[in-house]
Amino acid sequence: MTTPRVCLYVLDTGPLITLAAADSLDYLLYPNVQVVIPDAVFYEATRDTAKLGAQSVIEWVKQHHARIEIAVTNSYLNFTAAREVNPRAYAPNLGEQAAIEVIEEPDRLQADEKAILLCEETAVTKRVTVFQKDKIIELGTMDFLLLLEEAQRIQSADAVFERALQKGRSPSRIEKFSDHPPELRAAVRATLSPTKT
Amino acid sequence: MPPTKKLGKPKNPAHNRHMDAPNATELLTRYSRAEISATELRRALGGITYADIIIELAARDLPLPRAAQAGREAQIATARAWLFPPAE
Repeated sequence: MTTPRVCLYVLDTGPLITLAAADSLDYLLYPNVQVVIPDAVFYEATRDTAKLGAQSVIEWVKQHHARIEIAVTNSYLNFTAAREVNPRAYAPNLGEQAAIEVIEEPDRLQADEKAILLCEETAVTKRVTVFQKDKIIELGTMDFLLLLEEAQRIQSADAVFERALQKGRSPSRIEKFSDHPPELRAAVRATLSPTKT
Repeated sequence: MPPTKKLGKPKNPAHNRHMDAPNATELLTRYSRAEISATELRRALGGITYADIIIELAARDLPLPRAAQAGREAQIATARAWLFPPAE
């Protein structure tokens, strides 16, 4: 029996923020499959570097760039173009649009490829139109952690959630992205650059 | 003379406005029990971020929702087989 090629798509910020808050982002790499994050989802998780988990997500993606694809989307490119014209431009549901765009790309899910869609916002997967639905499985963060626990890759899914909640008790909300040093902002932009996947 | 207008905007105004709403705790409790989705919660509370959800749950000593597995055991088992295939 051949093993199907599987990718893990992180379709919204929920799993990233929860795992980052629990210092457990590496759990996404435990299945040893390619992790795909739509560019707009990465942007939403990291645009305010003082937000819970944001800094950890940036550092984690930089550290594991060979195994994490920041998927380029037209949704995000259009948004950045709009921001150049009007810095206050706002795109509601940007991450959701980008996530749908990524999973519906014709080049994805070829042949026997499968996709695990990791998300907290169930609205995303309800809107996805994939020809072969049997190629995708949607999991919440807790689903994924319980799966790791059953596979004996982590000790306790509950402990991860508890760590995330403990971090939530002392979050910083003061600084904004624009307040950070230019080199940090440049690093975020470089990670989001279409030429770097 | 017209009153002086303050420049700038409050930090995360949607968060501040809706977290004080009388039903915020009820909504967060329902989310914690997996009775409503994160999307419903965020929209009901004025588009707060997921980070804010964790912060507000923690502030109220509410747990993050456990996976609602009923009826999805086979699906999750398939996901496990995809992610951790048995050694050949």
